[in-house]
Amino acid sequence: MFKKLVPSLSLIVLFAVSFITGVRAEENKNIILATTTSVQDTGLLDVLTSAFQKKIGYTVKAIAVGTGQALQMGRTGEADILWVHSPVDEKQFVDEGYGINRTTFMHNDFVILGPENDPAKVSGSMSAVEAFKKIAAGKTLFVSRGDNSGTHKKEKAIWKESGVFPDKDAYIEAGQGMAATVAIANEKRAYCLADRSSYLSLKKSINLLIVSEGDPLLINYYSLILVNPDKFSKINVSGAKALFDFFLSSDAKGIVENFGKEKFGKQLFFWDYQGKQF
Amino acid sequence: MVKRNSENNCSFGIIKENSFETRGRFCIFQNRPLDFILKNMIYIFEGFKKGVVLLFNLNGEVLAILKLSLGISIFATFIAVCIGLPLGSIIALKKFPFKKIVIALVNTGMGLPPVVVGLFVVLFLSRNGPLGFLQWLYTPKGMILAQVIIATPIITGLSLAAVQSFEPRFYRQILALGATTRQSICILIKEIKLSILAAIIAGFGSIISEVGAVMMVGGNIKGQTRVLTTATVLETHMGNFDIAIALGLVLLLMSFIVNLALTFIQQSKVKQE
Amino acid sequence: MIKIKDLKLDFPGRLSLFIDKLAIGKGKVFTIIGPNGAGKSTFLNIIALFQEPDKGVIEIFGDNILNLRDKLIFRRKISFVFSRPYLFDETVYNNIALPLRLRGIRDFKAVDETLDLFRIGHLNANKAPTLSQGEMHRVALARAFVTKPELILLDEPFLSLDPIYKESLINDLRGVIKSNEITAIFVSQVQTEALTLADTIAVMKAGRILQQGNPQDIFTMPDSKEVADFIGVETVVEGTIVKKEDNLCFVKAKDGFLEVVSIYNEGDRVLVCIRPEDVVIARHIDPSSARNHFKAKIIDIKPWGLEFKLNLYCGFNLIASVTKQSVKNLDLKIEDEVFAIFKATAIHLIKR
Repeated sequence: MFKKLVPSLSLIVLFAVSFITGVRAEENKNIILATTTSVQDTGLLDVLTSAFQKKIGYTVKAIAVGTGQALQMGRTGEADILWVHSPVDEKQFVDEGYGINRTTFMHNDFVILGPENDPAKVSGSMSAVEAFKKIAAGKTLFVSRGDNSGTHKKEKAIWKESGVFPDKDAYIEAGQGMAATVAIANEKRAYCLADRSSYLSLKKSINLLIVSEGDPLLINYYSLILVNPDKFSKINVSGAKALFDFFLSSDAKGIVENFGKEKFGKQLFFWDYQGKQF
Repeated sequence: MVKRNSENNCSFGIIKENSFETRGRFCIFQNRPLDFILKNMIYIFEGFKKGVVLLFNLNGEVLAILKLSLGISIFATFIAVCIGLPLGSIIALKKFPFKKIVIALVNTGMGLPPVVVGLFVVLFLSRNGPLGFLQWLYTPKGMILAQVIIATPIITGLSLAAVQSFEPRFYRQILALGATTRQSICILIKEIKLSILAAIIAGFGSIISEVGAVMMVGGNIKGQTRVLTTATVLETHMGNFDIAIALGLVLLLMSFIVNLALTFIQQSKVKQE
Repeated sequence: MIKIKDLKLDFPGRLSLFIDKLAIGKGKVFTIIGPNGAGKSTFLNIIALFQEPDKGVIEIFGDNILNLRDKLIFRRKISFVFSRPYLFDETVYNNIALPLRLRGIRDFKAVDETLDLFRIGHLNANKAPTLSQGEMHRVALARAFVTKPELILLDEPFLSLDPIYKESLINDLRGVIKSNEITAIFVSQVQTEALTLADTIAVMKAGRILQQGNPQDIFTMPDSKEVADFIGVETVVEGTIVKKEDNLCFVKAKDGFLEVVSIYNEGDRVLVCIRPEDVVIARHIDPSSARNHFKAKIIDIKPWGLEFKLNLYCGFNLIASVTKQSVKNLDLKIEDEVFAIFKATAIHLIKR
């Protein structure tokens, strides 16, 4: 039995050693990008990071969590660069000194979804605020992301603007991503707020329709923020800068503007960055 | 006759509450019952069909995900066996103080919520954590670590039980033949091969199907740490149910093949009984 | 070769084991008999270092084994056979070779020798789980001898074997032990087994050795009621078959001659066992078919349950069991001279 044990043991030791030593070689080749689920679920994240990794030899570890968690990762230095969409929180983040070079560079928009029969008669509303007021007044079900994501924050902002809020039993907090939230709204024939790209990719499997869109309040701005290297020693400064520059480059612009045209028939994301392009 | 107390809409009919014949809510089909059933079933079936097609045209990405899933889980199982099997045997055979408490700890470990394990591994491997220097977060190594932590108590606990149920006098006979402790454990394990393999199968099963910990520790990064389970979650999130089904099928198939191999080894001993 | 002093092991809530003084000579077979729970197996376990006593000294091979730092060396000099064969799922050959392999011995000549000694050479390549019960016990015994141990411990190794098979196995075992001068401690609940293998018998009950001595003494002269109760006093006499005609053997036992029906042969040394119930007492010789009749003198009469046990001397010590009625009718008294009669078929021979 011994004879069989020794070679297996040495195999394990070999593996272990290679693992530990392997670490050295990867130093500073990794960039941790904290971003939101909306760019992952649409597929834009994968396309942009693949393009970057092909062009420049870094490994991007793109962690798609909610905006809230992404900012928190920035606050503890666990990420090198953030790609989020919640302007108010982003400003606070920078003011507190955790982020630098905040750059808003693209946007998409949100839409309000509702059941086919539209019981609250939202359709035809002039603004998002008006739509929300009608939803609350009609005592119809509303499903929220409930997860502190950018979408959730936008939703909360609209409720705040409108000055009303649904009754407790008419408000459902999903605590999950966009697809799950829409699925719940679909099942319960409720209203919800979703980004357009998510809606377009889920459209085939749901019975909800867009009941309100186009309000400037519904525009969703995405920004890049570099995590402040002065606060944390372990930040991959050069890597983050390289990714930052790539995201603002003309290559990136091309990818963003063309994304989704083939699949959904319309442009999903719009470029805003007017600064120097690389 | 069914009474109607309150009505809400559900996606394929009307929800009846407190109805005369049943308690609780359920959807009954109004007006076009067959259509509703068919519409939903067809949708699932379409997904299933597309899934099987994708399965057979295993594209590069799915293949990479498959290789990674298998690699990580098999390796983690291997390490868990190397730790858990001797550990379980020794705990079972040796006398030492607080033995019952140690066994209780092992048994608790068997039910460790994987998601909690994932959380702690993330905390330890994060940059600010004590093991941050390893840079294992968001890498397969970190995922292997998490899976080892999940599987080891299971294999330890089941080996422990298997050895304990081994007749103590038989073990004494082995010692009486002149075996050292190491030799006796080897002989004993050969005799309880059946139960040991069951432990390995359980350990492997617990991690190949796990999604919470590997999601947190790996980050589900395309081409790096995306495995079958996390990829399935992502595709579901994106609404691509057909791809999600395909991945689910691949996972089931692969798990079945591995377990088939293990079961053949296990059952080869049984035929003489 | 084995000296035990002051051995004690307490079981909380149960009886304790206590052996004041015990010595076993080299090459001797020491048999312990006693009821369940007497402590016999515990005693063996302590010697094999499976259980630790609370105090005591056990000297084997010159050392106090209870103080040994390395138990392995001692364990490798002895063998232990359990009541179940505990064979592995391998061939008979590999099972028997295992103790050698464990010790790093590459030369497996001893395996073939042992296979022959126990007459299982033909089972060489068979897988152990396919063997019959009796064959498995043989293999287990063979395995215990392959390393030529100096001491062998046997804990009821013939349990659940059928009597005919048992007899041949015990005989083979006896031969191996005696010809190799192996010291053995043998535990049993079956008295005939004990008689066949023993040089010395010890009766153990409730953790104590009640009586110790040669088989004859134990069986004919129990020195306490406890021992007597367990033994079920019987006549056991050493004898030799001096002649054999057909199935009839003439046995010389002490100063008497007996006629016995047996399969054994002329020249065989035997133990003669006669059950007390089979002995008939008479004042005059009856012309019955009983071939054995002796003039006997009553040495002792003791009440025994609903009957009486008579201790007679008729050239050898004979125990007879008679009803109260018979004692009254025959007016039996100590010192009386009577006739003791028993059939040739009532006598049981055990080969020594």
